[in-house]
Amino acid sequence: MKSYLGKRIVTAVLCVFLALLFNFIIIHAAPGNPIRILAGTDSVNEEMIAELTQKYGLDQPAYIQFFRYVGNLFKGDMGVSIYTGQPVADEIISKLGPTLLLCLTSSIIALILGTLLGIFCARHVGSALDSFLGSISYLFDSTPSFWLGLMLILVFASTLHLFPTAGMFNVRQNAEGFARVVDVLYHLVLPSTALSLTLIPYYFRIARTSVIQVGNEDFITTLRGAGMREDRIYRKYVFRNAILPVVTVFGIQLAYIVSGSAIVEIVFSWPGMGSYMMTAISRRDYPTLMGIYLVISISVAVMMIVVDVVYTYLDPRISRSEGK
Amino acid sequence: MNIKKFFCLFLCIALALCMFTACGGDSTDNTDTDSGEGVESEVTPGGTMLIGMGTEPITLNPNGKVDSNMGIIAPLLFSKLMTVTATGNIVCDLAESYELSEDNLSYTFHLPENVKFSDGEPMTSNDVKFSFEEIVKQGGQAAGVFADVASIECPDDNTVVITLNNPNAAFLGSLGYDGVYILPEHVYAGKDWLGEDGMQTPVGTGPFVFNEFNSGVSLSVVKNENYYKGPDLPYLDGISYSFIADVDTALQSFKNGELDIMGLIPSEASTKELMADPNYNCYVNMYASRFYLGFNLDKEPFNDINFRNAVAVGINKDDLITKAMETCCVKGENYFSPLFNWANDPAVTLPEYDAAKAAEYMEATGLEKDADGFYCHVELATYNYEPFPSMSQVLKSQLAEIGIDVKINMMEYAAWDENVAQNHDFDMTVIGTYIGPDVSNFSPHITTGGYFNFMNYSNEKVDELMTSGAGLVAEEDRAPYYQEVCGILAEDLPIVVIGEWVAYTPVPAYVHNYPLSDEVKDKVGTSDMSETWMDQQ
Repeated sequence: MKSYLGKRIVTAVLCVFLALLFNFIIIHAAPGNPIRILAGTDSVNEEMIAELTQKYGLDQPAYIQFFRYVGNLFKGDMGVSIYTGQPVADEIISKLGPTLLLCLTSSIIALILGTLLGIFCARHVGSALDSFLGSISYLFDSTPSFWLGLMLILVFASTLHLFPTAGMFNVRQNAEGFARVVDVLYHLVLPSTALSLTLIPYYFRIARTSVIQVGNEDFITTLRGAGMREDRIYRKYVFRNAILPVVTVFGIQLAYIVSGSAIVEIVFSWPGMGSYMMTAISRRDYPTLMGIYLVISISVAVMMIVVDVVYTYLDPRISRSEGK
Repeated sequence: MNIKKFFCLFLCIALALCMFTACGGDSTDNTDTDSGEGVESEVTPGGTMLIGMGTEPITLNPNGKVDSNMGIIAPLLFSKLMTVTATGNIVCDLAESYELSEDNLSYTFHLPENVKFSDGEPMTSNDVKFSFEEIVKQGGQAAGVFADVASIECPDDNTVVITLNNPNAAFLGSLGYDGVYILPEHVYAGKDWLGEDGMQTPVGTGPFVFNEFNSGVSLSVVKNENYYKGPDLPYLDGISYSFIADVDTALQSFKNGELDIMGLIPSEASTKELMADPNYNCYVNMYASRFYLGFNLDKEPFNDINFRNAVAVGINKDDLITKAMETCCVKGENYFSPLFNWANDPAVTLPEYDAAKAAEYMEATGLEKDADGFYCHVELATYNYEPFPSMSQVLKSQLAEIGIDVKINMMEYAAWDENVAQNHDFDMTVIGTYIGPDVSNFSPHITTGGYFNFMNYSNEKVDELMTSGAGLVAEEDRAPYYQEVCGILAEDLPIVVIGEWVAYTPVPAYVHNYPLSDEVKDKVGTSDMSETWMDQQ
């Protein structure tokens, strides 16, 4: 197990480095110059552009910029934003909190609801509710998250006045302490609902399919033949085996959701990584973008390893086969 | 009711509500604008105003980096010697008065007494000198404004004398524009304005005092109890800016009453809807920003005056504005903005739509129609946000009628800047850009090698006239130079001016003395909320 984990970590580090290199090339290949955007359009001249280009080291060849960046990373320095002049690491940390709150809440809600509904439908295959929920899952799966977000705002904020339209807390009241916690949760309802609704279909379909698959396995038929009660078969054998793909999807999705929640964050003005990334892209803020992509790469790599480890605990066959 | 039925019912209701809300909405064809507030009411001080803002400021130093968001917040926290009002007038802000020497070289500004910064320290003429000298030293956004300053002297605590090397008509207006705020030397000396110190806590002499900045969420300011124009001003207890990137979300927040001022520009349909609503006053304001179409004069057939003439008279501006730009543009009539009408030659107007003439000009180019009936196939480069996509579509259909096949190339600003402005890789482009606060700021667009002259237009006479016009101060002395430029531009046609950028700003009726309102638009800057108040808090 230890050597397996070691191999996985080495592979993950290599993957993160390649992702970093790939992102660097893509970012610099995209048209647009951050310095010219920074300089704006009032009282600007070529001398100012040249001075700023030199200040941010963008006058150096691309490969020097890259290795300088990687070198600084080893010293724990992710650079400073061309725009705000603030350390990228500090900015990312301040944005990670709201994103994790939104993403974890939504993912857990989606995991529980999607899986439960999937299991329910798997046990009632062909029923009217199974068909209905199957159709609904495709509907939400194909619904753009920005549209869904806007519809939730129109219904629950503008029409019913049940929830606030946007933001993370009430700026006018600016509550503190426990009242602030309640206020944040209140503001969290609509964005997490929008994100959950787009995630539920994945868990629903995977749980449903895998429960049906495991339910049709020979050993389950044997258990049925032996006279074991259906509830006990499902509780003790089917769910335990069927949960593995759901865990995999949950882990992978959790890693990608940091960037995937961008649209929902923008629609609901949620101050997280997503909207931060979109702004950095439009401004071509190279250090910020590299920092964001680094965090996403690391989170994907880490989650892959975590999923594998969790897998081995859930399914002892995997650890045994790794050991061979 | 069991869980299954309840769940089905809930989903049905939610879906039905979604459908109802998505398809609903009031429609109206009432497009009356209400730009006045009517009867003057008694001021009700107090309350915190909530305003939307697309993205957060990238700096809290108003003289450091270029930042349109800080440009909105800065007048609340800081003061300038002068300010530019919504009507384009240059009026005194922190300065009580000023005089210009007879040789047009020395400006003497008189400052009021007992002005204090928000930290309680007194403001003196030395802070003005420090601010301007530091802007140059640090390479602040307005460093170019002081490039021709010979000296800044402080004969006493309340007098500043700025002497220029050459007369410069644009100088006074520049002191009322962005990036020239008066900062306290004891707070800002020795700091890196463009670097990490850019986010230091702001200290100024404005009507409000910085309170809190929650990155990604909001920025708030509270009333400055020691404001030098007080004791009543400002009327509001505070202002909070809420960062909302999505226009549709901001619109819903605004309509739900969560925002007092939307802050972002609503879509054309939403603007019309709000204009028709009696609960809002819609202020219409023209800025010195213009929409124009530019040609790449280094390429054929754009270097042919007949082709440019054909495009100029082939565009039906009235139709274009009605179809694509009704709530953001008024038709242009002259080569300079109407805000600088003194510079326009009344005898030289912009080309008017004339399909027959356009056909004649196209014939004169010597181009021949292909099998599809087009003389040529060209690309129109533009930005990917409204009104440019809609504008481009209408232009495409209008130019097709005179035999020009247009392929639209929409780009985000960064890509446009690289392709068009830097690499000069385009055929035609349509843009909207600020050309102020002085008429001489048109120079970078039309003079040889100008920063915005991506057309590569070059005419020595225009260069000479624009330079001469900027070196004089009185409008009557400057006018002949600019009027001659109008005549040359009409002959050369490096650009086709489409119109003036106007902003329709819907403001709830309970908000009074908004900077764009008739009551104050001639005396305060466009973001100065010192006299604004609300009768609903």
